[in-house]
Amino acid sequence: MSTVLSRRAISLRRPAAPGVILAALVLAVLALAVVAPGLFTPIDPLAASASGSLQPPSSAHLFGTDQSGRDVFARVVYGARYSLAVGVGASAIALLAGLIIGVLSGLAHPAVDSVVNRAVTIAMSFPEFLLALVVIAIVGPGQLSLVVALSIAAAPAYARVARSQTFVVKRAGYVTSARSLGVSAPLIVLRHIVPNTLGPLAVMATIGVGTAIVSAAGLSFLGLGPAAPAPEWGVILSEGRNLLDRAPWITLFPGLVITVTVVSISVVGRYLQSRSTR
Amino acid sequence: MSALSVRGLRIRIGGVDVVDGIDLDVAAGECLAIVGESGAGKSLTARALLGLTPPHADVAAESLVVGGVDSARFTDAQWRGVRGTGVGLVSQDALVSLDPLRRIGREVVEPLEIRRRGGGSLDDAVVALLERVAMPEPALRARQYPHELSGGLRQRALIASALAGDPRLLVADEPTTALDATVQRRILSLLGELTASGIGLLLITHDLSVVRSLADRVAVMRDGRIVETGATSRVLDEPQHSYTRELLAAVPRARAPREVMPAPVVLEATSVTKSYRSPDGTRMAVSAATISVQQGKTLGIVGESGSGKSTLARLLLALEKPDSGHVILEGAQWSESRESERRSRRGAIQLIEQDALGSFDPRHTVARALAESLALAGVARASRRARSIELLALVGLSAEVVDRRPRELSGGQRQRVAIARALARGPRILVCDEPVSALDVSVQAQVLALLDGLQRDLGLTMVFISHDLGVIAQVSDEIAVMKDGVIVEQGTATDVLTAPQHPFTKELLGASADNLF
Amino acid sequence: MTLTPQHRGRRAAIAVVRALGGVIIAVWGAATVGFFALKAIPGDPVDVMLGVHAQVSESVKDQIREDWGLTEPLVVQYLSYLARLVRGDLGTSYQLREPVASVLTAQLPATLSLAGLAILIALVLSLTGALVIRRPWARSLASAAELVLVSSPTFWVGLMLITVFSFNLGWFPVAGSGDFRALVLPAVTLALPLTGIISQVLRQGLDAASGQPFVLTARARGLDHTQLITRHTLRHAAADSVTLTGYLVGSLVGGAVLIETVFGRAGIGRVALRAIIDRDLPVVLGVIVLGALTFAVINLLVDLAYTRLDPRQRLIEGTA
Repeated sequence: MSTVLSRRAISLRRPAAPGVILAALVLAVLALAVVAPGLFTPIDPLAASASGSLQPPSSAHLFGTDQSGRDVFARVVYGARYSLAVGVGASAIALLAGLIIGVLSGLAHPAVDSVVNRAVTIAMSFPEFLLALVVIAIVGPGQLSLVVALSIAAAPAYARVARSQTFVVKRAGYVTSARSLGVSAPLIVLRHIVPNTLGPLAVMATIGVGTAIVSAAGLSFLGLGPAAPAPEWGVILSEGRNLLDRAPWITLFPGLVITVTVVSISVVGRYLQSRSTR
Repeated sequence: MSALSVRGLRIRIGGVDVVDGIDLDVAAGECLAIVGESGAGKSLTARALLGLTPPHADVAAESLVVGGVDSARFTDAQWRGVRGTGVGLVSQDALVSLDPLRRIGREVVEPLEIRRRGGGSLDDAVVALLERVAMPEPALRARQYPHELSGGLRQRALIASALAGDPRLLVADEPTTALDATVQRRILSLLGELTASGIGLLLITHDLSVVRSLADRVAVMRDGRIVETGATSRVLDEPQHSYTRELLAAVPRARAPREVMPAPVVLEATSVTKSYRSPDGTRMAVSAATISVQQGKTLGIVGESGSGKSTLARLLLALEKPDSGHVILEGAQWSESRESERRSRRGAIQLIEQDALGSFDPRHTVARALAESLALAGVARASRRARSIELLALVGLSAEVVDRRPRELSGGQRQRVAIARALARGPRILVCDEPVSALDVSVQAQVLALLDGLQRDLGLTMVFISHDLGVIAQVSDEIAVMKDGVIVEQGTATDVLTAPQHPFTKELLGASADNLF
Repeated sequence: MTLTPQHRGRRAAIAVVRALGGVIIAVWGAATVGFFALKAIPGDPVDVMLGVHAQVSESVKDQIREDWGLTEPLVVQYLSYLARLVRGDLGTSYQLREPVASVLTAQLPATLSLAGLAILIALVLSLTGALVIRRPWARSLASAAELVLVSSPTFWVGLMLITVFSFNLGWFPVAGSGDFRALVLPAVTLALPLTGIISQVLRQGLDAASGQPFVLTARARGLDHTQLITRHTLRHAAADSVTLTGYLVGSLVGGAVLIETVFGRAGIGRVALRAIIDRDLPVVLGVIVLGALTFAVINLLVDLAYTRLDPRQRLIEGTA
C-alpha cells in the first residue's frame, strides 16, 4: 500500500517535459505581443515601407513585404491581438453560457431538461464552422461578429458537457454526504456542483481557444471578419492568396504562426489536464 | 508431475523488491492458496506465472517450472506457447475480464481458435467446455454476451475459457470476490471438482473462509515474502507466525450478546416501499419493510447485492421518499415532513458510506470537509480547526491529516475521516452502509473496533448494513435479513444466527464462514 | 433477461419511429430558427434580386414583392414556407432565379466527390498508422504529427500545397474542377486534419482498451500483439470512434467551404458562401435545411452503428 501511494505522489511532482516548457514560452511571447507589440518591431503595420512591395524576407523585413509594401512581420505581430482576443473572448463567453445552460438544465425538472437537451442536440448537429458562418450571415461581417458567431457556435458543446457532468456530480457520494449533513440545496450547487462541473469545461476551453483562433482566421480569410487593412492573420492570408507564385512568404508566415500558436495552446492545455485529474 | 514449482521468485519495480524471493509448489490435483492483504504482492506473483507482469517490472527466479515447462528465462514469444495450454488464468469479476463486445462462445474457445490449423467448426468444443463448468443451457449461453449472464454464470464462462487449452495449472486471482456469498460457494465447489480431476490450482485470495473451504495447503504472504506455509487445517487452527495469528484474529465473528435491556425506539420504518423505473419495467427496490431500532443498540441489515439494503438506508435517512409507508425519527415524522423542516434535524442521524473516497469533494481538504460539518453543527469559525483536530484524535488519526486531501490517505484513514465528519454533527444515530467492505481484513477489524468504542462512549444507536454475515454477526444486537427488497427474517442476533427460520437465512449461514462463532 | 421476439419487434418499431421523429424535429427546428433569423436581417430582398445599381421605380418593386409573397404577414410566409418544404420545394433563389433545390443538387456531386476521396485517404492513413506504429519513438512522432495536422488551418495548408506542387513543381493544376488531377490536392488538403483527428482518437481508443482487464485475460490465452488488436481492441476503439463520425462529417463540410474557395472549385460550399455574402436568403435557408437534414440523418446512422458495435447498448435501445 505504501509503495503505491509514494509512486503516485512522485508522479505529481515530476517536472514538466521540455515540450511543455517550450509551448508555455511560446504562449508567453504571444501574450507579450498582444500587450506590447512595439517591443517586437518599431515598424508600423499599416505603413508602406521604403523598400518597396513584394520584397522577400531579409534582415530588414523578417517576413518580407506585401503588395502594398507593408512589413509582414509587423502585421503578424500586431495581428496577434485580433486573433487572441477573438479566440479567448469567444471561448470564455461560450464556456460561461454553456455552463449556465448545462447546469440549470441538469438540475431542472426532467420535462424542462429534455426540451433544452433537444434544442442543444439540434444545434450540435451542425458543425461549428457552418453555424458561425450562418450567424455571420445574419449579423454581418466584422471583428465583433466573429466573437458573437464563434461563441454561439461553440456554446452548445459546452452546454452538453456541462449537463452530463452535472448528472454525474449530482449523483456523486459527496453530494449525498452534503445532503445528509443538512447543507441547503443552493449551497450544494454553488459549493459542490458548479466547481466540479467546471473542470472538464476548462479543459475543453483550452482546446477551444485554439479551434476558435483557426476558425476566426478561416472566416476572415473568406472576408467575413475585420475588413482590410486590419492586420488580422486571416486577412493577411487572403491578401496573399493571389500572390502565391510571386510572394509565397505573405502566406507562409502568418499560417505558420497560427499553427505554432494552436499547437502550443494544445500542449499546455493537455499538460494542465493531466495535472488536474487524479 | 507437479503443476507448479517455483524457487526464489523476485519481482523488482522501480528499485523496490515487491516480491522478495518466494518458493511455491503445487502438485497435480492439489490446491495451494496464497493469502494476504493488499500490497502483499499476490497478484504480481500470479501474473509472473504467466509472464504477464507489467513492462517495467523486473522478474527473476532460480527456477520457474510452470505446467511442466521451465520458463525462468522465457521471452514473450516463448511464454505465448505456454499461456492457455500449460497454465490458465481466472481473474476477478468476469464482467470486465471477458471482452464485453464478444459473445461467450467466442471468448471461451479463443485459446483453441488461435492455435488450430484448417477449418472445421469448434461449436462442439464450446458446448463441451461449458458443460465441464456446469453451465446450464450451454448452446444458448454460448451465443450470449457477458452482460446478459448473471455473475455466477459469467464466472463459469471465464473458468471455461481458462480450461480450453487443457492446462496443467490454473491460477485463480480472487475468483469469487465479486460474487454474492451463495454464488461464491457454488463457484468454489466447481473449482474443487476441477482440482479433483487432476488440475493444479493456485488460489489467490484475501478471504480466509475461501481458503478453508477449498485449499489443501496455504501460504501466508506479506510485503513480498511468504511468512508461513503448510496444510490448511494446521495453519488456520495452529498458526505459528504472528502475522498469521493477526489475520485470523481480525476475521469478524459473533461476540457474546450484550444485555437485552429494552430502550426507547429512536428510529422506525413502517411498511416502507420504494420502486424504480428501469428500461425493463418497474423494479421493486424495497417492499413493505418494517424495522425499529432501540436507543444505543445496533441493528444489522444483511443481504446480497440488489437486495435493497442501500435503498432502505436512504429511506431511513430521508434522502429518498418512500412510495408508501413512513419513517419516524425520535418520535417525530421524518419521511413525511418537508425538507426545510428536516434539514435542521439532520444532525441527529448521519451516514457512513462504503465509498469513502467518493463521499468527499475531490477538491476539498480534510479540514474543509470537516468544517462544512462543523459549520452546520453551529461551531464558530475560529474554533473549527481545533475541533477538527480533536475529532481526528477521537477516530485515531494524527493532527497532520487535517491539511491533506482524502485521495492522499489510505482506505482505512479515509473511512476514519468520514466517521469524524459524521461525528462532527453530533449525531445520536449512525447509518453505516457497507462501511468496511472495501477494506483489508486487518484494517476492517480496526474500524469496527473504533465504531464499537464510539458507540459505547457516545451512546450511539447504529444501523449497520453489510453483505458480510461475519461482520453483521460481530456488530449487531438485532439482525434483519433482506432478499429482493423484502425483509425475510428479523430478530435478535442470537436467534437469527443460531435458530434461523427462513430458508434464505439458512442458505446465507451455510455459505458463510464456518468460524462465525 | 432475454426479450421475446414480439417484445423486441415492438421495441424496434418504437425506436425507429422515435428516430425518424427526431430527424423531423431537427429539420423543422433548423428551418424555423433559420427562417425567422434570416427574416430579421435588415435589407430589402428586392435590392438583392435586382442588384444594388438597378434604377427601378417603387411600384415595380412593390409588384415584385407581391409576386414573391413578401407582402404577406410573417406568420403566413412561415407557414407557406413549411408547406412548400414538406413537398420538397426549397423556394427560389433571389439572385439566380432558379429553384434552390436544383441549384444545390447541381453542386452536390462535386462536393461529394471531394469529401468522399478525402475520407478515403484519411481512413487508409489512420488505420495503417494504428496497426503499424508500435515503438515508443514512432508513437511520439505520430502523436506530434497528429497535433500539427489538427492545429494548422486547412486553407493555409491548401495554399502551401498549391505553392509547392502547382507553382513550383507543376504536378497539379492550380484551380478548377475539371479532371481527377484537379481533385487530388483539394482532397489531400481536406484529408490531412481528418487523418490527424481519426488516428488520434483511434490510438487513444486502442490505448484505453489495452488497459482494460479483458486484455489480460486475452493475453493469458496466448494472443500476440496483432491478434489482440484485430480480435479485441480494434472493435472497442471503433465503437469509441464511431461517435466521432458526426463531428468528422461536419468538419468535412466546413472544410469544403474553405477548400472550394481556395482551389476555385465548384461545389455547395462556394454556393453557400456566395449566398451569404450576397444575402440570397432562400439559398442560405436551403443550405441550412439541407444541412440539418444531412446531419440529423448522419447522427441517426451513427447511433445505429454504435448499438451494432456495442451490444450492451442494445438492451436499452431495443434494436437488437
